[in-house]
Amino acid sequence: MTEQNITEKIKSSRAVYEQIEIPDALAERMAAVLAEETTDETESRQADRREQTRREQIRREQKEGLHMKMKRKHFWRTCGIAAACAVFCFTAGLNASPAFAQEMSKLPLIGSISKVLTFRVYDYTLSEDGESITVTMPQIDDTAESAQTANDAIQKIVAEYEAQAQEDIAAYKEAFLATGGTEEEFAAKQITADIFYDIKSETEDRVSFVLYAQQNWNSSTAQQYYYNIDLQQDREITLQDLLGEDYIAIANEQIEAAIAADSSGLFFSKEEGGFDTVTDESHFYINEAGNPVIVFDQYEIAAGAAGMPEFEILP
Amino acid sequence: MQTERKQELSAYLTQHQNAFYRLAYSYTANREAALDVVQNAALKALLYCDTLRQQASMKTWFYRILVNESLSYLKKNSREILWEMEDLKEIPDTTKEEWHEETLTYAALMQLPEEMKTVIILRFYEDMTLSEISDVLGISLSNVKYRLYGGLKKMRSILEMEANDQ
Repeated sequence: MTEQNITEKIKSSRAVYEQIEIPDALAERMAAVLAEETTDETESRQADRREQTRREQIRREQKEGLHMKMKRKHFWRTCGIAAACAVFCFTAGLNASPAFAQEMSKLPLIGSISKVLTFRVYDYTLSEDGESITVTMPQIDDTAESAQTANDAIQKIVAEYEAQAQEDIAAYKEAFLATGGTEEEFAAKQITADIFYDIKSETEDRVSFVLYAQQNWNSSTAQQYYYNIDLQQDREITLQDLLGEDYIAIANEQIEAAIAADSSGLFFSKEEGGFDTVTDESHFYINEAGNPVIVFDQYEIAAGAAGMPEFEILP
Repeated sequence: MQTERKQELSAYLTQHQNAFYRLAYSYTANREAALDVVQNAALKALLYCDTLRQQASMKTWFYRILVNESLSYLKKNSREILWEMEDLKEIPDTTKEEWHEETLTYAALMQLPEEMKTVIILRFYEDMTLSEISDVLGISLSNVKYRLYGGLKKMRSILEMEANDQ
């Protein structure tokens, strides 16, 4: 099932939602509420007012907290990337307080705090209430060289994808306007480019996560980057590490079996350019169980409707 | 001026009350509770009407109240609401065979954690844009998307699991 597929399903299930029976009492009670508004203040509303005061207090406190956060965000934005790298331990990530998070991660008991942190979050629009770009950039909070290499790569990927997305969107907009579309119609499309990540699994000395970059109007621009790093041994984890010497044969056998068992008919046959063999370049992440999950790009071994097929490989 | 805004709000609330009820019902799975939630949300909206600045934001402003009211109902009653197929009995027609697929999808959506469920309902059932949802929930656009993608993924696995069970 693909993302496209699931959104279609949800759209058609809207009919079920709209069938929810509306009790007659609803109109009566709403009418009562609206009529009451003209009468004197009732007891319940006095209570509400008290609650309002309390909430305002909380809101004020939150606002002050928010102000702190904004300031920090600003600071990071003005900081050059190189400088940001150098003082990397102060991640803007665990939003409440990075210093706190840092302290926490030193404590052995609470050491389970994530090593993969949101380093920068920002979004902006390219035109008034139109196209937007959102970025949630991860970084690995570890001094291992392999982690630093991954961090540098991520920063580069994000910067490049962001620039490319701006170009793509501008070109699309130009073509759209040139063929008779209006600015408003284009804005209504809510074009976005998104960069974000998903932590697949994490242990004391191993992280596995995927960085996603995509544009909602053009699935061919979607890109994924897989990071599986052994922080203890300071290197990237390979399929061989997880499956042993015969990793290719083991993975191939299980993938072939899974494809053979599939009844959707979406997978290409070998002749049609379907699955051939796993290689050292095959993408994978490590799931909670510690097993590699090999992921193929959309269209790589199956029709687009299959999305990005995934296969968990058991050692 | 103030009464004018109040009138606008009253008209808005009356006009869309069915939609509010459906949303509330999606959280409470209970008729009486959903009625209470909508009523309380409307009361609060009228009471705090002055805090609403522009008419344009009335929709997101009210949905924010409504969602908060629904969630605080769940918290107060602190019972895990497990959607079962029989909860759909208040939804006529769902017993028909040709509705099977849609009903399954709907039931899967109801099983999602509230934060993901909310984003998907507002997006696909209430036709809100992502930036409207970000206003309703008071969270960043990327967080909205994160919840949306997460929710879609989760639904996919719920549906796939159910398909495998059969």
